[in-house]
Amino acid sequence: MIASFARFRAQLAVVAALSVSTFTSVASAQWSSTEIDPPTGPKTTGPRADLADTTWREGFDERKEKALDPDFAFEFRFGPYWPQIDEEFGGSGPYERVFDNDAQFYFGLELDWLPFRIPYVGKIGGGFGWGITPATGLAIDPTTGEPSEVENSLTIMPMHWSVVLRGDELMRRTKVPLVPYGKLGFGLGTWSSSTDAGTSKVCDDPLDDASCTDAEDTTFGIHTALGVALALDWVEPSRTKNLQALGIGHLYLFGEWMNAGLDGLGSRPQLHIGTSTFVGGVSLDF
Amino acid sequence: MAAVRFFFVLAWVAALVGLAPVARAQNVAIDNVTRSSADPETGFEYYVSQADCLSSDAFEFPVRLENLGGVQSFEVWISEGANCKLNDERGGSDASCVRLGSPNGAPEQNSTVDIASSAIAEGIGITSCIEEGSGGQPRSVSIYFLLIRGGDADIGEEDAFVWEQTKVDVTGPAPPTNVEATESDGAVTLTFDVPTNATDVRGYRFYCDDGTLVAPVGSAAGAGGGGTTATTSSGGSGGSGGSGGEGGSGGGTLTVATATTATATTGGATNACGTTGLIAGGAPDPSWTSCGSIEGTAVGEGVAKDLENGVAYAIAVVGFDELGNVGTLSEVVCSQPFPVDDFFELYRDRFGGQAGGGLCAVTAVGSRTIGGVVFVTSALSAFALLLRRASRRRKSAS
Repeated sequence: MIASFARFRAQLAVVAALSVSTFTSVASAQWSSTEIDPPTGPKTTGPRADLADTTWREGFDERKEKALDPDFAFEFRFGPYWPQIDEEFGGSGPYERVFDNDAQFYFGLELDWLPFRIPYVGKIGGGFGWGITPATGLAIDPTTGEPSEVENSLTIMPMHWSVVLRGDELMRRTKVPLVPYGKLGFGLGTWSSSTDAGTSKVCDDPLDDASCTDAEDTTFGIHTALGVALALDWVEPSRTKNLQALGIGHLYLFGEWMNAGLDGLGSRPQLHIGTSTFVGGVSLDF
Repeated sequence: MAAVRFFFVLAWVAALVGLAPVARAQNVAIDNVTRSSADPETGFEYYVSQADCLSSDAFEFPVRLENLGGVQSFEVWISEGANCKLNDERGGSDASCVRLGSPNGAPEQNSTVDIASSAIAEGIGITSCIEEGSGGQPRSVSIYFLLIRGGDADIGEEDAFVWEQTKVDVTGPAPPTNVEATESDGAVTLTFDVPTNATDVRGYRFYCDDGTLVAPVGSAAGAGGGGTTATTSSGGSGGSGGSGGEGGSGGGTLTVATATTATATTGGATNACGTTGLIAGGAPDPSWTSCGSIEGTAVGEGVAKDLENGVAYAIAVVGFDELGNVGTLSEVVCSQPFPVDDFFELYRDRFGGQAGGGLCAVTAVGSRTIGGVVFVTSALSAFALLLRRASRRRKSAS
């Protein structure tokens, strides 16, 4: 009896020892594989304070949390661009003569910083956008009034600093993947025109360079835009999670009405290089 | 046993003494070689270009001589690969070295040897700074500064200094072919085929002749008058230059100079446009101003600018290399720019627009508007940052 009891104690000791070692190895395996902070105990405040804090088991990641409430947005934008140069001349002017009125290709980039959240509305902040739209045509032969063989180009770079409001609360609260947004700010654009001979110029006295005016300048204006972005989370949710692990919140397709009112703000005669157009593109927030 | 050991040690000492190099003092030393007038680009400090050759540029070698006892003369020789320390290379029937000069009197311990770039070129057979052909690679030269002690003996290492950092390249790239011109407003667009395998090319330059250019002497024939070498010696006043050469400076210097005076002229040749300035295959005059240029070995298009509308121009293209050597002129094409009304001319002249004037014109007018916008933007940004900071403090406190 005594012998069997002693054997039982010995077996118990072995089992206990194995159990302890197994628990220890499992626990250490968990620590080494997840590399997260140890549990901090149950929450002491909030609606679920009665439950134990288990975020450590879920691999809580600051980048992931940040991705769900991003402060930045970046856009690749493109669309047609009709510079409203001839509106200064009643609708038909030098732009139409040389470049026709065909739409030019516009490409742009924009970076928004949205540090504030307006409850039940969305995020608000500032943004800077840059774009470029080149136009090419043929200079006019003055003797015939017809296009010559000499190429003439006009390059416009519209830019803006704007206040940006992205109404993402709809998506956050209802899972509808749409984010309406608006922009309002100060716009400016640089432009230059050239031929094979270089930047065009007009001279009061052809022999005096000082009397020449170069075909390049800057135009100011008001920039406004309204658009809606379609979040692509639903296309492939697993990819979205991967992006979030990288700190990228969402990927969007967007369409936007952009009014680059680059008409000089009335400060002086400036080339009206602005336009009102629809642009589209891809954006991401992070 | 001790005797054997002693013998063994003695043998070792003898062997060591026999194998040890004899320490010989260097009797000719040169430091800090400079150029008198050339301003070459980095990496080409000691190269001789055609422009250097045609100018009064000279290499200045500060020479320090030692152990001058028994020295018959101090001489400067040049070769393109031959060893001028060997007597046969200096005076034999197959001698390849060329003697650049020597002081008349006894050599001085410290002196300066000035060697004209043109003399270096002439030393390797390039007369008048003109070398036939084009696109050649730079030629390496060796300049020997020798202390001559015995008449026919080879020169020992200690009595020679060999300068091997100079290269001579006086040829420009080969001209492009198939030159075509397209007229525009005050300009002509030129397209051409660049020579294949053109490695020694930096770019192409355009020359436009409205009938006022005069062909340089000897351009088309590629011939020039020969120069002569003048050597002046140290001591006393500098000697007079040779034919067209420069006189040497006096006292303590050896000057080797040549002068180039091109004398041949073609005269009378005209190109397809009826002008005489640009002749295919000829060399452009350095005094000409180009009407445009491009850089790059593979680019076969450029624009000749600042031309007068309604004027017929003869236009030719010429290549140039890293040293600035200019090649020969391409075939000559004729072109006449004509006026067009471009967008800006229409905008300003025909429609009365007033914009333009350069991107910097932004500060001239409308500065009040810009200032206001900048101020408001800055104020809003500062306010936003304050709000954000306050928000973060509240969060961290809770």
